[in-house]
Amino acid sequence: MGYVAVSGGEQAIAASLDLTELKRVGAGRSVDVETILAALPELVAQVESEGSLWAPEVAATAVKQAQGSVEEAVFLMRAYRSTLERLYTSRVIDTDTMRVDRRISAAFKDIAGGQILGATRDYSHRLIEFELVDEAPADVRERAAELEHALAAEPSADAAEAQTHVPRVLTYLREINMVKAYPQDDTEPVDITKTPLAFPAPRSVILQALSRGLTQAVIAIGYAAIRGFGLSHPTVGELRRGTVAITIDAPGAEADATEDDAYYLGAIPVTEVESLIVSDEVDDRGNHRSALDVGYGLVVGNDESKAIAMSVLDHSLRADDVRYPTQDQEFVLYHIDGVEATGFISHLKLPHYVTFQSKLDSALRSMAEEGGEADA
Amino acid sequence: MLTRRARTEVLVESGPALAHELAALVEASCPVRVAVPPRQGLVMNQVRETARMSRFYLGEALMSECRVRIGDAEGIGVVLGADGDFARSLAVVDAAYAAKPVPEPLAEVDDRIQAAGRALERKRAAEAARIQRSRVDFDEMGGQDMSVQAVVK
Repeated sequence: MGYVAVSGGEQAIAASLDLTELKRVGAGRSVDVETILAALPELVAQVESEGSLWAPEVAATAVKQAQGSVEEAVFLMRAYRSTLERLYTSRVIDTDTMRVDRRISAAFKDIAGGQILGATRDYSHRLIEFELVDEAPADVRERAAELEHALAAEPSADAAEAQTHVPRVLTYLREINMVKAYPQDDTEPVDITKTPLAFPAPRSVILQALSRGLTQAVIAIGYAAIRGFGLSHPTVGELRRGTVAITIDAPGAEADATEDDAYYLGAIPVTEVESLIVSDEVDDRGNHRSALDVGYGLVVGNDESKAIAMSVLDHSLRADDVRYPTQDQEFVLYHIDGVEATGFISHLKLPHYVTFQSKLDSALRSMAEEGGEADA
Repeated sequence: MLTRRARTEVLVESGPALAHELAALVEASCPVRVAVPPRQGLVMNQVRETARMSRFYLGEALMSECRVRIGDAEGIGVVLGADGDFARSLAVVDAAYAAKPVPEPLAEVDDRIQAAGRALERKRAAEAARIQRSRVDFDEMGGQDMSVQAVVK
């Protein structure tokens, strides 16, 4: 059997693309990118997180072009990213300097620095507010003024200073030897955008892959790891949300250049989670004891579920034990990338005429042979 | 004078209008040559995680860059996002700080950046105070001591 070249689909494809565009514009309504940025920031952040590219205006444009499809918008972001040169690698971001706008602990009620709820839906009623149907821009401005008045407080330089120096729960647990302390590890990270996945994967690969993973996949597999298809049951030691500064060294600067000489490019929002997980630890004498281990999650944007699930999977994948799929690095890391997963699933729609014909021939031959044997 | 880190933070967080005004002041006093025209690119963000204290790549961010020269002094302008004009103005201000002899308006430029820094601090103080409104006051609830210190005793 040989391949047969065919033609004639060009007009149909052009018409199909026009039909897609007509779906976007057919209702005669448009939403500008600034409105998407203002009204749908979490959707935009999800596209940036999975697209692995912080670029709000570009992500909002991708959302518009994709007609709200996250899958398509992420694909557009990854494609756009591939057209740009990487000019710099940032100085190592120390999340201790995060400008925190929310931080909570599920492990301890009273923590140094306090539990700061920030903006969260955790305590909201999940009831649809139908009055939003008729909300106009003037209503939005009026509501914003009301809320700003209600939340007004005397500006506090101390509070602003404290925002970037929030003590960690983990630091205290390490001081009292409840959690093992590790020395600073400056092993150069592996970049999964330049190096194919190989197993066992280094820690930097696991964290990068989880952080940019398909949000719902990270959450679902993290949930499975907790529910019984793994051994990680976490307590959120601390969850903090805020912005981290992106800085670069001056080109040609010495390796030990100080932060004072760095250039500040801006700040991006992140969510960080340190989960505490009771684990079996073996000491130097081979004795087993229960100890607290830490699972780490850090994602771009405000998706707390993704950050918590990432912390669970970080811990889970350290075991690299294939008895549980959630501890199997290949199972999790290969299937968690949005573009990889949706790309492969999507390709199943493309013509497979020849391979399917082959399968069909094989099935027909098998049926004929079975029939022949039955007749004999 | 502010450090470069502090200066560039104030300029970036204050928005492009201030950088454009200050760059115009500098350019009115000395010739500025564009060495690398404004361009867009990526910065890869690397982070230190706190469980094992190792480093990993969090992902990239879109950025704009421009490089200019005042005499032999190079100035670099870098900012997140796609705003080549902003990057150019940042580069002009940066070059002014590196130039020898010092451009005449540098003292005024520095004063204005410091003033913008104070305005930024006031804005952040107001935002921080608002966020502090959502701090939980457990003293009102009473009951068992659930502080970290008490729980781990």
